[in-house]
Amino acid sequence: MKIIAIYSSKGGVGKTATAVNLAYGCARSGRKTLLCDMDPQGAAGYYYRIRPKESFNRKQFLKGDLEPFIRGTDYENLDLLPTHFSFRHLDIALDERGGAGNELKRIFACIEDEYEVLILDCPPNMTLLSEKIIMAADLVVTPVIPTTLSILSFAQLIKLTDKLEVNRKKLVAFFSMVDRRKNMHSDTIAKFGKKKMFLASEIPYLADVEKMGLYRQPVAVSVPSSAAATAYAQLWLEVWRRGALL
Amino acid sequence: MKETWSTSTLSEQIDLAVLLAGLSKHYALLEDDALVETLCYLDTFDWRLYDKGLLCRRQGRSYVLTDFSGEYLLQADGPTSDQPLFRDFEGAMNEKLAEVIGVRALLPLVEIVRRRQSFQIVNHDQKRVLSGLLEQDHLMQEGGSPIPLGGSLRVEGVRGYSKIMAKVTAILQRQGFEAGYSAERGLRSALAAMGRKPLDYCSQFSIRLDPTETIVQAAQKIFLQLLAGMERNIPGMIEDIDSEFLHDFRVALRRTRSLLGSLKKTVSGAEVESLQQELQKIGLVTGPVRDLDVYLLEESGYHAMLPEGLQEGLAVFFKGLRRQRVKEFRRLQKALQAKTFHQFLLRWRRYVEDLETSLLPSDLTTGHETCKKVAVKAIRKRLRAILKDGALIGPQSPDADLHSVRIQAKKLRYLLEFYRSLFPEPAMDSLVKSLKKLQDNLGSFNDLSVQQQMLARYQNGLADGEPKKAVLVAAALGGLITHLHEEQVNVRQKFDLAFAQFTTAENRKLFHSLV
Ligand SMILES: Nc1ncnc2c1ncn2[C@@H]1O[C@H](COP(=O)(O)OP(=O)(O)OP(=O)(O)O)[C@@H](O)[C@H]1O
Ligand SMILES: [Mg+2]
Repeated sequence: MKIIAIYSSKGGVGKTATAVNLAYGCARSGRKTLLCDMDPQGAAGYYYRIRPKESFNRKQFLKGDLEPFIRGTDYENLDLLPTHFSFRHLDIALDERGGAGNELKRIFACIEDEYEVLILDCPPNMTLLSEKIIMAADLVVTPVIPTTLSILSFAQLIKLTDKLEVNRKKLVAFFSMVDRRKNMHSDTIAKFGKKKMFLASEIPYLADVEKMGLYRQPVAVSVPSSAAATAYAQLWLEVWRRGALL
Repeated sequence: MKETWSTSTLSEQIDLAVLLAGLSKHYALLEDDALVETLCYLDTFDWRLYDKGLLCRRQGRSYVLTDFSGEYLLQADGPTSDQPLFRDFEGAMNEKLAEVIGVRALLPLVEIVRRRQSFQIVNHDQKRVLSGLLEQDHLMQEGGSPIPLGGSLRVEGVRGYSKIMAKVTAILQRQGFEAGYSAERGLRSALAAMGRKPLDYCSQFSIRLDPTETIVQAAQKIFLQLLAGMERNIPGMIEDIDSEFLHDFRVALRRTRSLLGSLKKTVSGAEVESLQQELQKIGLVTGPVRDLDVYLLEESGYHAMLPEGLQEGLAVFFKGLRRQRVKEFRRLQKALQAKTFHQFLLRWRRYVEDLETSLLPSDLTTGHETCKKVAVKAIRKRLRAILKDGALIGPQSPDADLHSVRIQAKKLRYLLEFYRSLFPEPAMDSLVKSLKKLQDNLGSFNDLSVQQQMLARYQNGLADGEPKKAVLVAAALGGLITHLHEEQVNVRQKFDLAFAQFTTAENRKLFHSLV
């Protein structure tokens, strides 16, 4: 099972939009996929119209008792593990358990045989949980809005991976919510886009992505032949290829 | 992981909304547009798929192989031709069919019009929490209106939403739907609507006799069944659907002749003599095509026997055989369609039907012996002959001696098949089994020598053809003959073992207990 984390310490950069649409693309390519919503806000679950079961909370998650709480989406090959309000203290709980290293890997071990790909929609912060995610993931995909500040926080992420002694190669970034009419966006892309860590695909700022909250479906379903659907399809292909190279 | 529940439905019209009216307001039923499709079930003439628990259906070019419960095993595109063979398919379907149907063609059994209505149940978030499929079948018949056949209702749960699944299945069960759907039942009801049922033809001969029946009564039953078998194969032979029609016909014919021959002492008269001759003539008329089929069916085996350099000559040889088969088949077809052929079958039927009344006064005593008594006598006689002749075969014995043991064994085999039901089943089964092994050895020996003779004859005839090609073909045939000869020597060496295994002390005891 390949673990792909969609991560950024910054909020509102398009992580969830990316996780939701990449998970769909992955499942469409025939791979049994689990989208795991790690963010207690539960946006990913919301987009797939899935609420957590009442009996689910952080405890079961930490125990690795995930199976009974996984729910099927409306799409073939794609299941979702909803988040829970109690996930907001997940990092404290992880800290208390004091487990060094791959705590998350152990938790996800129980679903390893069933899913080919696990996609994590991560909350926006830089905590112990983030570190565990970065260590457990095979690929960390980071949406970067082409602004100076976003680049700065991406630089921070690189520093963190070095500190954790994690292979830098599993870090990939792409430009998110791109508006080419803005000079800042074009300039930033021109300056950093050539770097190896950046994928060639980018996700433009598009109303169809914004409207996902209305349709509660991946863009490939709600607006199948839109620019948004095409952009995410392309992004998925490139992410998967990167992952395969590792 | 996914929970499914299915049931058979018999009523003609099912309204899902009415059926699921008991669901709470939190759920809504969404029905998709119904699709109507035509599909056709296929099987070989002798039900080889059904016999192995398989069903094949075709929709346009798409073929699906399922088990009796309807579970998909294989799906593949195939020909739209009415009677496909395994080699008309590719990949896994080709392999599976080759294994199960062998040389037989798939024939359409029934054509069904199926109305498929898929539906889902969604919760208050408009999230799908259950999906389902309602299918209703109709039998199409030429000229008439479609006959409703019932169908199936299947529901499939969504992972993590088991409550609604439990609710829906409870509602269905409360309304009398029983769990369990079988595609086989669907096929059976369609066949029944046409007055057919599965396995209504089997090339294996089997008949129930009553030990107290007279031999004439028993013979009459056997003859009639063999005749029915021959008649059922005639259309397929004329159409040349696959090679087994002719083969099964000829086997039934041989059995008929063998039984008639064994009754010489029971029923006599000039009529028998002339009927025997006519039956033999049919054997001769149908022989050449069958002989050619045997080679053509083995074509790839022959190719495998020869090195690359001789392949071209062999290909030319087979091209010739195919051409010859076209010619021979035309002759056979004409013979089968001829009035005289049908007149003879009629005459044979009348003779068999009147068998009892046509007994001559001199036949009366023997004709009224019980079939069991006659069977015991006949089997004993054949067995003795085989045991005696077989024991005399040594390394120096001429081929003709083996040939004669083979004929004896074959006659014994027919007797065992005719009278099987008169003896205890387990003993009979093991006797037939060990006899079959002996026959396999003798049969291979004979086939190999017939093949060598045929190839040699063909080789001799080559001189008349185009010289360059003739050289190629002659070389290939020479290679084949060498190979076949080696194999024959091999088979011959194994005769002793095969015979010893047939005559073990245990088997001898078995023979004694039977006859
Ligand atoms: N490419 C885009 N074009 C237009 N709107 C977008 C795009 N990507 C995301 N959005 C919108 O921006 C908002 C934030 O996006 P999203 O929730 O995906 O970001 P996030 O990084 O997951 O946020 P958070 O950190 O809060 O989890 C959402 O309203 C979303 O619809
Ligand atoms: Mg988010």
